[in-house]
Order: sequence, then C-alpha cells, then structure tokens
Amino acid sequence: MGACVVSTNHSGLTVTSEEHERFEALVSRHLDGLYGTALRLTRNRTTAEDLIQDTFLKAWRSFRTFQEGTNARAWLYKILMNAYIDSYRRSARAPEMVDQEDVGDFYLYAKAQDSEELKRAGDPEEILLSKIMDADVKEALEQVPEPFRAAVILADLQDFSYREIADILDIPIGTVMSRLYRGRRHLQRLLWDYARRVGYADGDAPASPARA
Amino acid sequence: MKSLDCNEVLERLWAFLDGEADEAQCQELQDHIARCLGCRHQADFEVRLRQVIQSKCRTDRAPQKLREDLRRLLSKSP
Repeated sequence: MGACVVSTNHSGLTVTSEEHERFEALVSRHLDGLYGTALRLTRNRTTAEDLIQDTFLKAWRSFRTFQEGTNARAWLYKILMNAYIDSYRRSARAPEMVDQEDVGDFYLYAKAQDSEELKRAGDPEEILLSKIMDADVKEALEQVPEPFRAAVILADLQDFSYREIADILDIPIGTVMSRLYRGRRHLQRLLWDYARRVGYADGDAPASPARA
Repeated sequence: MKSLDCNEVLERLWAFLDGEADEAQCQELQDHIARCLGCRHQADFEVRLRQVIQSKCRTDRAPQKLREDLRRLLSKSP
C-alpha cells in the first residue's frame, strides 16, 4: 500500500491505487447491508455472493462518473437492484400476489384485537410480539413476493426514504408507497400465520401439535 | 380546517411513522395520536413490530471470504 501504482483501465484512463483504496473503503462501509439485502432478495448465499460480486464490478466501472458528495449508499443500492432485476430475479413479470381477503393495512394489530385466545392470555399485542420474536422473520420476509419485498427491505431494513427508494428502483413515489404498504401487509399476514401455527393465536385453523 | 378522524389518521399512519408525512399534516397527526388512545396503541404496535423485524433481519454480516474475493477482483480490475 502507499505507493501510487498507476495502471490503465479499458477506456485508457489511468487508475491509481489510491482510487482502488477509496472505492474499496466505500464498498466496505456498506458491504454488510448490501450483502444482507442481496441475501433477502436471492434467498441463497451463493447467489447473493455472485450478485454482490456483479454489483461490485459494475460499481467499480462507473466509479469514475460517480460524483463525490452524492448519496454513495443509494448509488450502490441502485446498482445492486439493477443487477438483481437484470440477471437474478426470477420471472420479473407481473406481481405474483393476489390479495385474497380485504385486509386493512394493519393486519397483525387487527388480528390481535380480534383474537379471543390472545385476549384470554393477557395483553394480546404483547404476546403476539413476543411470539414473533421467536419466529423466523427472515424466512417470512423472503416469502413476500417481488416487487413488494424489495420495497420493504429498502425501507424497513435499510432505512431509505421514499424519495431514495424511488430513485433506486426508478419508479414514482406513489408506486414506492403502494409496493411498500402491500409488502408490509403481506409480511404481517405471514407472521400471523406463523403465530397461529405455533399456538397463542386462534383462527380458522387452531394449532394443536397433533394436527400440525 | 376540519381535523383528521381516526380513519384518516390510520390511512396516513405508515407515512407518518416513516417520517414521510407532509409537514402540514405531521403536527396534526402527532396531536391526534397524542390524545387518541386507540390510534396511539396502534401506532406503538407498528413501531415495536418494526423494531422486532429489524432486530431479527439485520443480523447478516458479509462473509470474510467474500471480502477477500472482492479485494482480489478489484486488484485484477484496472
């Protein structure tokens, strides 16, 4: 390190080891988040690593045009999402999800309020939350269909604003909101199914071990 | 101006909790939630649910091998 090695890239421009280091430091800062996102999107460790390597190379290739001072994290996520949509997303066609029931936005809260069993057990929301603490929430999230899952990951796990998500996914803010809210609703439904399976929450399929 | 009722508050609850409610409405939403037990209860639940989801889903760390692979990839990329 330290010595300024100069090489030449494909467009004939000189690249310094200093640029390598700057780029590496930038990616390194965000790598855990990028990797976690890739993992939730692809649902597979090997594929997630491939996606990260792709993203890394694409980002490096356009690093020269990247303006210092712009939102570096959003820039990296945009490259990640584009790479994912281009090469990894299976059947990127129409949304797979159909809302079978007319549930409000706040599915879990409504269910907790309605559940006789939870009410009998004490504080319904408290019990439900502690049940979800035991659930495989990652797995539930991975079952949320695209493109709703991406919106939930970017907003709820990576804390991007609606505006940033709109830029990352190249969609209008209204679409960000509808995908995000639908994704959350779907995730809540999956978590409710889990709670019901393990007991503590009643419904049309009471969970007794014998019938599991 | 007519103040928001509970349904109107709930319609805007996610945007509010996401810090995305427009400024004019933000104060009104805050006031409503402060004095309406039902809406407050519901807002608290959504906040705590999100914390649970985050604590369960933000645990992945990029493997050391991936970091090394990336370093190698970069050293080969002019």
